This record gives sequence, structure tokens and C-alpha cells, in this order.
Amino acid sequence: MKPRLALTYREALRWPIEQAAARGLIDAIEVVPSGFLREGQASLLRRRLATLGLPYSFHFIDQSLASADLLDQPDWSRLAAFLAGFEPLCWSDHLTACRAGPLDLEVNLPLAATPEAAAVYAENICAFRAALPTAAPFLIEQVPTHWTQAGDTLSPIALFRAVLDQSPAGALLDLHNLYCDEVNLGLDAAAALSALPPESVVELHLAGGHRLETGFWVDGHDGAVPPRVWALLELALRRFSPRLIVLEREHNFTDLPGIFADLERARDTLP
Amino acid sequence: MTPCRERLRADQAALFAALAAPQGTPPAFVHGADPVFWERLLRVRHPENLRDGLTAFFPRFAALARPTDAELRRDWPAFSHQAPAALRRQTLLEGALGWAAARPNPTAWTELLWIEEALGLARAAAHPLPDQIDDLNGPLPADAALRVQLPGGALLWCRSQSPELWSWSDYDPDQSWLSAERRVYVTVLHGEPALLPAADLRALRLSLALSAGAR
Repeated sequence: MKPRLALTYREALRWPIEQAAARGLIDAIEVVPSGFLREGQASLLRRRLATLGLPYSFHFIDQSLASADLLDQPDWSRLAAFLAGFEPLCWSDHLTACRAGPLDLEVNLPLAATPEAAAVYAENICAFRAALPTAAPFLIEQVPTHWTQAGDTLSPIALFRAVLDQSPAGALLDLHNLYCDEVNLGLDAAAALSALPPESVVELHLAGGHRLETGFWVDGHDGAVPPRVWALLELALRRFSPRLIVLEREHNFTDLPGIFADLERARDTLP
Repeated sequence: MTPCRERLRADQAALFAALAAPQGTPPAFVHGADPVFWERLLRVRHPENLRDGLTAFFPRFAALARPTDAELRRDWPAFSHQAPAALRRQTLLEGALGWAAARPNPTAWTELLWIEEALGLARAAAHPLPDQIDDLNGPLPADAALRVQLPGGALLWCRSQSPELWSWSDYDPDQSWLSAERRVYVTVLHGEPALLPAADLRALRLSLALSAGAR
């Protein structure tokens, strides 16, 4: 089945999204629903999605599934109530720890990468998924490796694979994050694709970023998709059969024709 | 708790403590952290760093007193309801920056991003999409928090993304700004497409360049 192509949704971007849909460039959107979990907000999101009329996926950013203290006193009741009111294509969050105790840093951070740590993260995800048994598949996304940690024995993709193997989550593979690791750590992004089972990848992310003066490449979601990421998309589509491909563009909308050109290229790359 | 989970808990706490300190340095077990990226994480996390960064780009910003919540309640609605044409562009920028920097948590940074995005849309509107810009037209809502006439006629409209929940009376700086739904965003409503001078856009982008990667 041909994958759907989506843009990240923000209400302020309704017009570009509608334009892209009208041009046949997207047939879905990806919603970051974390701001809609408050009481009364779900109905607002439902209304907005109804007026757009596009299938949608949910991409959460705040569950911090790899926090070592996640299972201390988990309360996912609000999230469960929210999810009960929607029928997303799939829903996802990141394999990261963005929170420790009460401190939420609101940023994806790399994780300790050992088999034992992978088992902890998988245990978290198993508990999370058991508490939220949705019909829609749940996916986890690998994040960029901003740094490594002493004692790491697994590569970033091997850590991702280990968690996938031990948990009921599917894979959201972010090709730009692989590119970040290739630029910043010298890891072979194409080889990383081969490290994942073909059936595990349900969704792909495309994005662009920017380079710091140190040469470090930032996953900024603020630029055109780099040529290497397009090459990775072609490779990925030979190995995987994703249901959804999302162009993440969250900043710098001065180049709408460029964004539409990226969508056109993605559409033309689909099998 | 398994020994591994216990160790992870300690390491994560140490890492977060480092990032929570305004001048925090990477813990010893962190290898290869890019110094500029680390610095960005700190700047985004800490309002005082954010203010320093903005001051470098907007010297007049340094002279702005950090408004109290009461002042915000008093001044910002008045600012928003004055005749928009009388507001100068610099007022908009300084007002927005001062407003954002006064927020007690880094979510305020996102509000600047929203403004940047709206300016981007305004720029895009100057390109050959004049018929489509009409799609953005619409009546100004009664709850509009800010309307600003930009040079050239474009009207920027700032309001809560969730107008049914917005009111100044329920403004709670400790909670409301944690919700993306309460973030202010800016939409180009109507008027002739207009561009802010490139220097201002560059300044905004330079300040935005302090931000860390997206999520």
C-alpha cells in the first residue's frame, strides 16, 4: 500500500496545509497533541481536524518514555481519555528522557546505550502501552545522538533495535536524525537502515536542519531536506513499507515554494 | 528497582541538574557534547541567558524593565487596543520580546518562534501568491489580544490559540504558558503584503539562532 504523505500540523499553518492538500502534495497531517491534553482542549482539536478533513497521526513530545523514574507513579489517565476521542492513523513519542523528577527540559536528549538500559526503556514502554491499549499502532522515534555516555556499548541504532525487540512499539524512523548522527558522529546512516527489521518501520520522518559554527548539525526542522536524506529515503523505501511519511517543518516558513518542492520530491519518490 | 534502573536514575538526575544550572557543564560521563550546542541548551533553558542573548541583538531591550504580572495585565491589553496604525514596528518587536522574556519559563521562547513564523508567512505573501493570501482574511475576533499594522499595510493579529479559554483574568504565569494551546501565535490577516526590513528579520533570526534543535 502506498504510504500517506503528511506535513506537521499547526493551526497557524492551516493555510499552507490546505494549499498542499489541494495540490495533491499531502493526504494526511501529523499533529503534536501535547497542548491539547487539558480538559476541554480535545474537543477544540476535534473541531479543527474536522474542518481540515485529513487523516492524522499523533506525535507526542512529552511522555519521556526512557526516564528511569517513569514507573514511580505513572498517571496516564488524562492521556487515555484524550486518545479515546480520536482515531489517529498511528501515534508516537520519542525514545528519550526529557524529564527527571519534576524537571522537564522539553528537549530530546540521548540515552545511555547498553543492553541493560535498553531493557529498562523497554519495560517502561511495555507498561505505557499496557495502560493505553489503543487500536492504532504505537511507535517510538529514535532521537539524534547529541553526545554519548561513558560505558555505552551499543550504537544508537542498536539501542533502538534492542528496545523495539523487547517492546510492543513499532518504529518511527527519522531519516534526518540518522543524518545528524552521520554528520556529528560519523555513523553510517545507510547501514543503520539495514539494522532494523523490514516489518518494524511504520513511519518515516523527513526534515532539514542547520549547522553550527563548530560543524555540529542540528535537527532544527527549519530548512530544506538535505540531499543525503533524500538518498536515505530512497534506500528506506526499498527496505521498508511505511504507512506514513511526514515532512517535519516547524520553523522558517519564508520559503513556501521550497517546502512544496520538498513535498513534491517526496511524493515523486514514493513507490 | 534493578541496579541498572537505579544507575540510570542517578545519571539522568546528574545530567538534568547540569542542564538546569545556568552555567552548567556536561557531567563527566557525557562524551563529545558539542560546546555550542550545549550552550544553546542552557540559553533556552534559562530566562536570564535568554535575556542576555536578546540584549546583544536589541540594545534597547536592555533598558526595558522586566514587567510584573500586574503590569502585564495593565499594559499589554492597552497596548493591544490602541490604534494599530500608531504602533511602530520597533514597538512590536520590543513589546513581543519583553513580553516573552518576562515569562517565567522557557516556553516563552516558543512565542518568539511563532512570531518569526508569522513574519515568514508575511514574507511569503509578498511572493506570487496574492490570490491565496485572501484565504487568510477574516473578521478580527473580539478577543484579539494584539493587532499591529506593519509598514506597507499588513496586519498582524496575535491572539490565543484557544480563544474560548483566553482571558486576562485567568492568566496564570505558572501554568498557562506550559500549554501549547495558550501560546500566542501570529497570523497574517489581511492587507497589502509587507515585509519587515531585512535587518529586523535578520535580527530575529539571529536571536532565534540561539535556540536549540526542534523536538
